[in-house]
Amino acid sequence: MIVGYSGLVIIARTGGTRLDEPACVDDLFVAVTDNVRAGGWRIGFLGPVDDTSPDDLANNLALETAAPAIALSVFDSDCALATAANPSGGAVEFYLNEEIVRALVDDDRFEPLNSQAAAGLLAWAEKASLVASPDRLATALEGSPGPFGDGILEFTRALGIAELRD
Amino acid sequence: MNALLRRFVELIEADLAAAGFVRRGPVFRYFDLEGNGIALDIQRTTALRGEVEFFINVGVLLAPHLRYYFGQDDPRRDAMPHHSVWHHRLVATDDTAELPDHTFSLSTDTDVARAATIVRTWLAEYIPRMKSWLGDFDAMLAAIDGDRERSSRARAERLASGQWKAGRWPDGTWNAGIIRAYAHAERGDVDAVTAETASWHDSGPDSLAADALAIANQRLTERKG
Repeated sequence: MIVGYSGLVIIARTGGTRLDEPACVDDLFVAVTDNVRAGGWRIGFLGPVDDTSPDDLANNLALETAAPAIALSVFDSDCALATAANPSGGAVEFYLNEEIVRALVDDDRFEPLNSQAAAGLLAWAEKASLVASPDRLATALEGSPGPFGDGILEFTRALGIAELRD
Repeated sequence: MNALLRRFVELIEADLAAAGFVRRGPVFRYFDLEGNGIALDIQRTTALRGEVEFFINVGVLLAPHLRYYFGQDDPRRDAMPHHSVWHHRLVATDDTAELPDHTFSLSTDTDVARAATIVRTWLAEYIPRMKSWLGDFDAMLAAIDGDRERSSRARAERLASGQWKAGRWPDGTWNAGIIRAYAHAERGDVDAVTAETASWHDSGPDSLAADALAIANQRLTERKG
């Protein structure tokens, strides 16, 4: 049996501050694998966390960093439930790989999100001073997070978060 | 953080902070001025809902060995027990257990107190011991010899009685080859490093063996200069 990555992933603009330093992350008592991106953005893999939700964490991160932030709860590398939050309030909930979420969740509990999410994420990116690619974003939302988080990294690139240049 | 885990961490953090350890997430670290250190990691594992289960891993860190791993990065922020030359997973059971178990499990306040007592007792004995090894190759090599003798006695006792008995075996696993290689290197003994690392699987230009040899050559040059 192959078991994929399950756990939280966060995307935040913290500049030179590592993603294990914000109080809302420190309080989770996790070791964070930190990936530095251009413009002060960072992508952090937190592993399994049982006492927060992507919604709470994204909102707390946005408030603490005073910048837009995203938190994703990844299930077995196949799909993710996620929230993109703004420090001024307002959040966009979305999935990575909504098809798989639909298959995993009971029909009466499943709430389709992605038909509205793309526009919300483009607005989120604009508030974050990012230049997102609508086509690439639509494709990334349909993809899975992947066993090594490749789908999440592609999602961040679609939002306009660039790799660091040498 | 889960409330039970938070109480447990608060209890052991009091002792660790007093001993100079700094916590970052689930890892406590202590370093001396030369960059030798100790890392203690609370490694959570899957548990039933309402329970918290974890292992506690400890490692003694050797400064040149860390420099090999981390290069320009700061090991004070990222060093883990698996970067060590001596590592140990604490036993969560006491001396009355028939077999040792390494899983700490918290589902009540009583569990928290019991686990914290086990860990604090171990720390009280081992923090001074681990600190005495930092940067002292002779102390580490003597401890390796002592642990080897103790293992031999425990093995003989187990064979004779047919039973595992708590407290008979030394705690921890040494990586004696790495310690010897860096001890030779710091003395500038190029031939001894070469001999020590001759059987190592990886001897390429980026290998640990090459790093130890480079240090040995550097120390030798410094002495000649």
